[in-house]
Amino acid sequence: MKLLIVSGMVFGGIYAISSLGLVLTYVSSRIFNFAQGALAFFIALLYYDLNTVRGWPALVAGLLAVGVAAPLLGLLLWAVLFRRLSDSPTTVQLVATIGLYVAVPPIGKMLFVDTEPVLPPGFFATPVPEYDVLGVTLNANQIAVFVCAVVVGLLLAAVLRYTTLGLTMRGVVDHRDLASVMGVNPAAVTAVAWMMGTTMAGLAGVLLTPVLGLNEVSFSVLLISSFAAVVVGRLRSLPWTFVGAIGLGLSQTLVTKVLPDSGYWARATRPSIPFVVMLVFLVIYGVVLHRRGTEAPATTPMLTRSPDQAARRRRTQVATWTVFGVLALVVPGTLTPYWLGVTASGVAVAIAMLSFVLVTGEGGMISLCQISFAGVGAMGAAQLTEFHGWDAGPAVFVAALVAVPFGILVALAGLRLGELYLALATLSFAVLADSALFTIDRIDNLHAGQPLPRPSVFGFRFDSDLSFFYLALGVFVIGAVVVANLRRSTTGMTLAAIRSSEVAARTIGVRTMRAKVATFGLSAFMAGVGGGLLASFSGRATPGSFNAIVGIVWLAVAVTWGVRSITGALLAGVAFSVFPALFSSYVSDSYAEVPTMLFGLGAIMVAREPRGIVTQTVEHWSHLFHKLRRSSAPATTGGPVDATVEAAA
Amino acid sequence: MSAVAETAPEVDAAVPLLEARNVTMRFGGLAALDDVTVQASPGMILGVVGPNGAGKTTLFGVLSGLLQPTHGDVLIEGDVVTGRTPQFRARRGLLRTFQRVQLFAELSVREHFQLTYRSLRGRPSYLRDLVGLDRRSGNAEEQERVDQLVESLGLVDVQHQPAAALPLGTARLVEVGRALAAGPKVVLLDEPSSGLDSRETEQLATVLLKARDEEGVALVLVEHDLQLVLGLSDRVDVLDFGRLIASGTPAEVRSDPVVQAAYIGTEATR
Repeated sequence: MKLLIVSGMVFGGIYAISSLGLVLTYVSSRIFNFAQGALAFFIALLYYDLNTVRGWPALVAGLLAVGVAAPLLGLLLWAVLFRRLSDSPTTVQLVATIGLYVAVPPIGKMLFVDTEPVLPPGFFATPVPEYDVLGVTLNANQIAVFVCAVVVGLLLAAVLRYTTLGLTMRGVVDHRDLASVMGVNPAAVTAVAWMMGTTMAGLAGVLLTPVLGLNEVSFSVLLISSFAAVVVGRLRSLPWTFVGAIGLGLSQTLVTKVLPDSGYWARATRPSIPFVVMLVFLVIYGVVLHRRGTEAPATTPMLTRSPDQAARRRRTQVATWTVFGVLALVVPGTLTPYWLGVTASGVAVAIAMLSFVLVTGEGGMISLCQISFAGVGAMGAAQLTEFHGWDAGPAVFVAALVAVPFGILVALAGLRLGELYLALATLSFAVLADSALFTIDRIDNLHAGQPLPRPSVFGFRFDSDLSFFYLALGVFVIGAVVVANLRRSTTGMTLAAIRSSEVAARTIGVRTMRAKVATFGLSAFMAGVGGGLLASFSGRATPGSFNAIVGIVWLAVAVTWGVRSITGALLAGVAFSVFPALFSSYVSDSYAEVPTMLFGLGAIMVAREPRGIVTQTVEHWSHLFHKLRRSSAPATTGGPVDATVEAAA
Repeated sequence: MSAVAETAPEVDAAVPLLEARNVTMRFGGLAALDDVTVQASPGMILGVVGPNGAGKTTLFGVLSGLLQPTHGDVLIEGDVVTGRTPQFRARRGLLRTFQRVQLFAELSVREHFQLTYRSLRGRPSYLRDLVGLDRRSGNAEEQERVDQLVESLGLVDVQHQPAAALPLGTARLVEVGRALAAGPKVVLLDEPSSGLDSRETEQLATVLLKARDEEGVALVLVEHDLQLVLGLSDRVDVLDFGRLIASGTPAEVRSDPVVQAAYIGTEATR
């Protein structure tokens, strides 16, 4: 029992350091740093490199990594990214920090380690000194975690409460002008906050290393768990965040006391706790805060179409059909069987990517659980075919329908509190699906999943990759038509209105909640179909392929290719599948992380080009192309009337 | 004309169309509204005036349901609607405009009017929209209404332009049109004339007076320009520091010593 309490305190301490850093940066800049865990991982890698690989003493390596490199990294990120973001809409801020989350770990791995190290040391190398505290034997690394957590917590509270710097940090967000009048440079204050926040991330990372190892996924999951503490503290209260963090750590270890040693509950309970807590608090705050009405300020429209889009629509349609044509006619004839398969599965992913066009592009909402809806579609379909003898086609359709109520519930839980909390609610659902839903024995099947055959229609089975490719493309086209219909319809007008001014939309009687929730539900269905087809292509529905962490990469890919465009969704899906295969086939394995890094960087660029960097570039080029063609047009056609019209236009 | 025009002029003088009853609104310790009561009847123009910070915009927030009052009630045609959503109040015929114009950047002028009309009169169906049976043009009745509105506001030339590209004066006209599109009972106008040139102001006034005369729409007008409101309104309520300091016909208000004191005070400091 004492042992459980102690190890709970250790985890709680790590949560506390990470979440206090998050609160600090949020309070001073209103940006929720999704990448906190990625930054922690980066600094932990650096420390490992200095300490273990180069053999520097722990004290020197620790001071350099946490005390020098981490704040410098914070300053750098502030200068190139966060400073720009402070006036952006919440959606753009979220996407950019999510991009950072995706891009940073691959960069760190390429810089510092080739293979994942076994048993990396913390501040104290083996043999780690051990001490007897209150009858429990603790090693120095464990004690360091807890001491650091308490010291950081107290220090931060003292700084914020009693120093001029702290006062201005709290004031600078809401009263930037006032701060300037007082002779404080608000930019400098925010920069300092980011340096402190990154330092705390780095500290958490180094402390976490001996406990978890240098595994990217376990790092992510653990530090994402600390978001729950941040939600408990409602993104501003330091004491509540601290209490929440320690409480999370304790409850996660103490619960093992009452759990069986093995089986579903033993697997599912512990990792689920932070996310159940997060969802419960989101719902409570949602209900409480909703009682008080707010007159939200008009925000700038997010991820909007360019105003002259209407004029370009014809050109866009041409581009869409060109991409379709190339894919449908040229690709199958020219590709080797391997690449045909890669492309076919890419088209299945593209159907899921289309769900981002609905939920993020049209609905203006950030969802991190589209992959979980896809997983519900895939694994639900596998259940129906394996245990109930259904054909894969109807099974995928019905399983995707099952994803709809999940989508509606998540939307209802998160929507009332705004974009940031919705993103956190979707993240909670994604991790919960991983830890509690997909771990059910019948679904998980010792991580092997269940088989899901190819669908058949009127006795024709889509067994060949070519036929499956056309099936997936056909389903994508149906999805694209649905999205296009929605855009043109009254609901499309409604969503466009909500994106510009939700307040004004409410005052003319638009049922904003209904439109958003329905869009979320529809997107869940579409993701479910995509996931079902993806699993059907590979022949198995395995939980590992629908992991929440991969889902975050999905979002990065979707926004990179442009979340307002159907063509963008198609290209995003194909790129998600083809890029990594290209790198592993033609470039050495040490560059296997490059595609992920590129997707992350693409998402970060959304801070500058809200419509997606690829869409932006393509439009730029097509504009250039049309200009060139226009200037050469009179020469080829020779029509003087045409020429004047063109010149006037 | 539509059915609205035939039924609207039937006035029940006993029950006010819109009423704020003893409304108090506190933000922290500060009372932006302190025990304020205002009433508007069908077909009347109610002016709400007061210097900056008097609580006019807060009153509109409370009336339209974007803010929930700390104390007091809001009533539409005698029914308590406190705590109900802005959408519910819009369906009861209460529409509004904003001091800082809030249009839908990606929608065209025409679509603004269509959206109001369909939100309040139509029967939206998400599924029908998905299969493409819904088209943005709308039914004949809607088209007639929107055409009329576009024409009377002088927006024919820009009706297909996205709102993002409109100059401020035009944007204000569109916002008023959006509020009028479904035949409201009462429209709250938050400083409607600011940013308009004299031609646009005239056009706006014509449309508003026509809505009042033909459809019995009540107008509640917030302005800090006292002279403008005194000239237009049937009744005037004067707010100062969240309190109602005077109420009556324009003539009564003009001669009220309290109002004169408050206004001379503020005018002098300007």
